[in-house]
Amino acid sequence: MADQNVDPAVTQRWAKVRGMLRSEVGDASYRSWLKPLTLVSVENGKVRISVPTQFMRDWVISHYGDRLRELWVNENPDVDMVDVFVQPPTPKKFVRPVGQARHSGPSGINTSVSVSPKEGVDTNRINAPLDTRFNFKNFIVGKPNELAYAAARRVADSEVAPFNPLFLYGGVGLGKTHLIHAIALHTKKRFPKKKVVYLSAEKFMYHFVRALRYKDTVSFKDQFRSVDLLMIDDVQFINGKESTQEEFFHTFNELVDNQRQVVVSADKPPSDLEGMEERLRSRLGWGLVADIQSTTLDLRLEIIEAKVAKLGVEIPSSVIDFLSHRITSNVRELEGALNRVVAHATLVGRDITLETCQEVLHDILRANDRRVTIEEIQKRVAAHFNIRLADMHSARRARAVARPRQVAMYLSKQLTARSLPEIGRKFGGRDHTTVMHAVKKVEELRQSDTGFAEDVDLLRRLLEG
Amino acid sequence: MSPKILQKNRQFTLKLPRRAAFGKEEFFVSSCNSRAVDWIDRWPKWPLHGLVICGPPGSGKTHLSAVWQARSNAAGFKGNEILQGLEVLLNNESLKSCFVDDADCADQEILFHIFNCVVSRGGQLVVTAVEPPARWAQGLPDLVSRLKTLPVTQIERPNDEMLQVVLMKMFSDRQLTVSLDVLTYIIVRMDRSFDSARYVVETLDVASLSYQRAITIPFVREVFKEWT
Repeated sequence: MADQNVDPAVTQRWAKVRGMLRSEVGDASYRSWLKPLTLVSVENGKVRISVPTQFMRDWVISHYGDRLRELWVNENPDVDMVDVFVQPPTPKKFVRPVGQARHSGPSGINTSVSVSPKEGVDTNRINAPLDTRFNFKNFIVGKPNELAYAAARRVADSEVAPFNPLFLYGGVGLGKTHLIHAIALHTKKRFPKKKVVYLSAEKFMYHFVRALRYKDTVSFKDQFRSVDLLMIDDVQFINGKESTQEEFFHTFNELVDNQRQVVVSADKPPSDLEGMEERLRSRLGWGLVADIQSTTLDLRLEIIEAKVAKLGVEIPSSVIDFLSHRITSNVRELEGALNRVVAHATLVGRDITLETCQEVLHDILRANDRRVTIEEIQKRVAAHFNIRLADMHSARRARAVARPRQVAMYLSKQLTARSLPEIGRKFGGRDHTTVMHAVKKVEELRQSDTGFAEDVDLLRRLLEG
Repeated sequence: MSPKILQKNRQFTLKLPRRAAFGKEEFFVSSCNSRAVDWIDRWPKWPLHGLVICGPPGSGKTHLSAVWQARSNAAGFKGNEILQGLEVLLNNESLKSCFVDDADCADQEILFHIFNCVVSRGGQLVVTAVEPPARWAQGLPDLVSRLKTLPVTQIERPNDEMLQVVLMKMFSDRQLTVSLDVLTYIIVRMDRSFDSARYVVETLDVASLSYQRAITIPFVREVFKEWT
């Protein structure tokens, strides 16, 4: 970030401090939290740094405040204080959310926050909503997920924690969140008196930072004290955020010691969680660790069939086969693909066929759209009409070479963004009016000669891959 | 490279910010974007929790999404400002839907949180990007796998009709009137992409101001000659 009006020597020190921080916290965290910092001044031992929002300020102070000061002192022993303050970015032309009040103080001055400190402590606010579709009934069980499913059911059916914590892990989109929601929904129904809290990682992070802001971690922890079942999804995102981890660790211990059930999900087993303290990792592995493996073809077929029955739509078996063979990455993408196909059919009021399915899922099925070049077009067309490639550039005007040349010019206009003069140049230095004439000629012929039209369309499809 | 004609002695020009109009009426529908427009028009009857609008730079993704944003009362953020976006969402439980422009430039972890937040509130998420998420290089798997569940609508390369409209609109945004003959002259000589339309208009505008000349065929010919 450009730091205006600061002495070059100071700017250099700042660059060094940032470099150190970057290597300590890693690129991702650096980009999110530290890159937006702007050095404003260094005066009388006080370093002033601005950030764009209050939340960011709190986060930076709680996570990097001490380190920031230490690094500055190393660079310049006169520094005794680092002040991080909010300076909202100058308004951009970009649309603000409607009805969104702007709270920005005069620039350069600490802005006060308009929320009351107590707000962050309400358990209802901290609870993330549950999706009722994610129940046990809708979870299709197969070899890859039967252990995780059985464990989740045990937890949901038990009065006291059967294993603590339950740690569910598996790759993206295989059903961790589904099982967690199902445990919560089932528990609430079976044991209405139990207090269930479900946290997504971003909620945990956000509310914890707020609590830190008001030095109110005690009441933050308090709200978990009466919880019977605490579930935290995608715990890998708490990685590397030290004080959040610390807090999580304590909260976690307290609950487990009091025999409250804790359920945690992540994308890897506890031992592989990077950027997480050793004691937390080992603690997470104390209960039952259950994995969900990648889907098998059988499971995918079963999932699709169940989903189709649920949607109550007519889908040819060729499409079901196709989807379960081609979308192998995970369950979310498989269901997502089916939803997209059905949504498209409903939207345009057409039947679902293999062709529409391939068209709708174009972005997933093909790794990239091929960018066709004029040279490729010339090569392919020459081969198709059995003429020499050199004839694409030659001055010969015999019909046998002129027509294919015109087709190639036509396709160059359709399939590339090149200007007409440039297309002309690539065809032996012809004028752009020649290209325009070729395009017109091919369009006319397509109208009058269906065989010719099919030929051109075939070439087009081949070129597009 | 900037054409030489722009570097010779010329009158000093001020770069005034241009007003970009974002109303639905301002949006020209052609075969290259009609599917995307269809999607926007069918809101709120969307079957899924959002939409991905892909297309080359300058193809009108932001414009179209802004139309949706206004209709749906969604929050809107640029991809490089979504940290503030997440904060706004988490501070306003009443905000349900969200639009992220240039999502392919966004911090993916933050976008992941925004996706979860929007879906858990029963809202909808519209994102724009040049390529569909399934093709993002080094995408965060957790995010990409979620975005892949959204329908993708692609704005294609402009056809001649579209190019004409785009040029006309861009000239008129700069208070320039250019005759149809001149537009045709330009179209058969330029690269046929939204991006190059923007470049052509900008170059001609600056050149015409500097030289105090109207945008006519002879003038365009001179400018283009400097190019090649």
